[in-house]
Amino acid sequence: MRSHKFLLSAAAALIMIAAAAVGAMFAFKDDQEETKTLPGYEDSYDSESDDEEWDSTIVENGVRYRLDPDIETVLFLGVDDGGEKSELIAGSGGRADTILLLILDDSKKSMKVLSVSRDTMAEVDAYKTDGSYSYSSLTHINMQYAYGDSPTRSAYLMKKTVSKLLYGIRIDGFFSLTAKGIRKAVDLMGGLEITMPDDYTEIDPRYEKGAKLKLSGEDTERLLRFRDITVAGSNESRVERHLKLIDSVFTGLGGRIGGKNLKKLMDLAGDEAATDLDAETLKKLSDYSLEERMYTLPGSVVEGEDHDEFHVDEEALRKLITGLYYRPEEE
Amino acid sequence: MKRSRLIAGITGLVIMAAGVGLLGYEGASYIRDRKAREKELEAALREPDIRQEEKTELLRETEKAPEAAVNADKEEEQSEAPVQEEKEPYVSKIDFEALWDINTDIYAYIEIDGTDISYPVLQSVTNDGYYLNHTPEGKSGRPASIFTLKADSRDFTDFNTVIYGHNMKNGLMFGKLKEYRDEEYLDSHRTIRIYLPDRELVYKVFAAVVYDDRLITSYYKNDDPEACARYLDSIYGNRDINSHVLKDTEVTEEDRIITLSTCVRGQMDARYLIVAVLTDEIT
Repeated sequence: MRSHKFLLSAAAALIMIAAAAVGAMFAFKDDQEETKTLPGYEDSYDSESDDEEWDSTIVENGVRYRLDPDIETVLFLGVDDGGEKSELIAGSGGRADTILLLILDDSKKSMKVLSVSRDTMAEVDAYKTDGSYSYSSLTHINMQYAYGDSPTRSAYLMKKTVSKLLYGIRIDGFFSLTAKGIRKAVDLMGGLEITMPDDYTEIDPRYEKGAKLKLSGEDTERLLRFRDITVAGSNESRVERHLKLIDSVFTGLGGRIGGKNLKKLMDLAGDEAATDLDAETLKKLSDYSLEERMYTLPGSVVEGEDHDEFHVDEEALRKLITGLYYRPEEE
Repeated sequence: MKRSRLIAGITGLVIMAAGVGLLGYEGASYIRDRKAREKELEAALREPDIRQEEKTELLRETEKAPEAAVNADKEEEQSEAPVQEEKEPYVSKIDFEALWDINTDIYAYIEIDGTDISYPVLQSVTNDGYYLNHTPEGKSGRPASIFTLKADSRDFTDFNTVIYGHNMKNGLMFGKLKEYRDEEYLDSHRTIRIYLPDRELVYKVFAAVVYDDRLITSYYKNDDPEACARYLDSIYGNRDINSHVLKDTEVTEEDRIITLSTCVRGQMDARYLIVAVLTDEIT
């Protein structure tokens, strides 16, 4: 009887001690955190605000907007390599004279075109011949293309620079064509059937507005290379004219090779074309219905030393980008 | 009968165990807090001469004022010092004496007009990361403190003083800074005040940008005007869609600015910066 009671007391005492120890452990558990040194904040992830991802939402006048997940952006570059290409000199890789953003809406199966004037003043990164970064300067955006040592690298540099200009919107891919490439494609097809979208009689008296013509590769290239100086200063109308021309050319090309099949066009152009798009996306560019309205960057032309400079209106540009890419959040 | 006694016995034991466990926890907590407080005091007293000198000097200045510094209620309006021929000595609306009793690492006070952001600013003499994880009272963990690094001087005379604080879920510390993402909010909350024992510094917010996590104090050294200019370029050239830079105030490397820095949820390598330029100094 006595030993029985003793055992019980001993067990009770042990339980008490264990309980006390457990309690104390909990107290010291709080102190487990290490002191992080800056620029730390690594452990702050849990307790940090519950806010959504900053790179896909914006807030304007108290309203929250989300990045539209159905939108894809493809960068089209029409390249003028001026004929001679020297790999030994940095900045000689040609210029991207036609810069178009093709904004695809996968849910609506539609496509918008946003044109970026080649004279747009933007932060361009200069690279040395070995590919290392050299410096940045404010200059014509088409110059960025020159710093690549291959069409793919040049397009990549253009992607970064154009994206930065447009407040960091994601550009999913690119395709580029030189005027020479279009000449090649046209000749391989046996000629380009085109309806002149505007009056281009300063190049050739045959090129009246509305005239239905069949152009050779050389004629097509000359037409696309034409620097329209007649509408001086009025950058928008010049851009619109050029876009209409490109559209006409593509329609002509598409008509001949069966429904604007861009992949076929790219194949025909060979080395004069480059892309990182897969066949599926290339097909979208052909299949999606093109919106009538052509968007251009808001801004104004300022006469520069050698060339005109297009200065973007930042506030209007921001509105344009948020309008194209962001939708009000529905809770 | 025997069974009910057993049940009673076990119940009693459980209750007692819980009680002892609680006692153990409380006891250990107390010891832990005391240890932390001791460490605190130790750090504070590490360079007793400098601190004492500083403290005495500041004490002498405040002693000149006939009235003691008033501990202002946040809701009460700050009364302006009357303009007289004989300039009255500056009296801070912040009771620094009371703050120093809590922690002598407190050297300034920050407020953003129109917000609840109102906190002491600390700087550790020894460990830059200390106040990233400790409150002024020495409690470890969140929400920690609003603080600056040793690289920045404590009198805000540097070109740029970088002030850090956590982006708290509950809106505490710098949790509300993300409201500056909305340009409308930025337009209506332009004033930041820094209180020092002997003056009030008024700053005008001109930029709210999403930045990377580089250590600004070492990347852009305050004693290098070229570096300061480059810092401003990086702010003005920021094109994140959530960034806003107002152009109504021209800021150069000759100005004095402050940069509030906090985290960006979901982007480990990003920081959100609110940059403001000194517009007024009230002494």
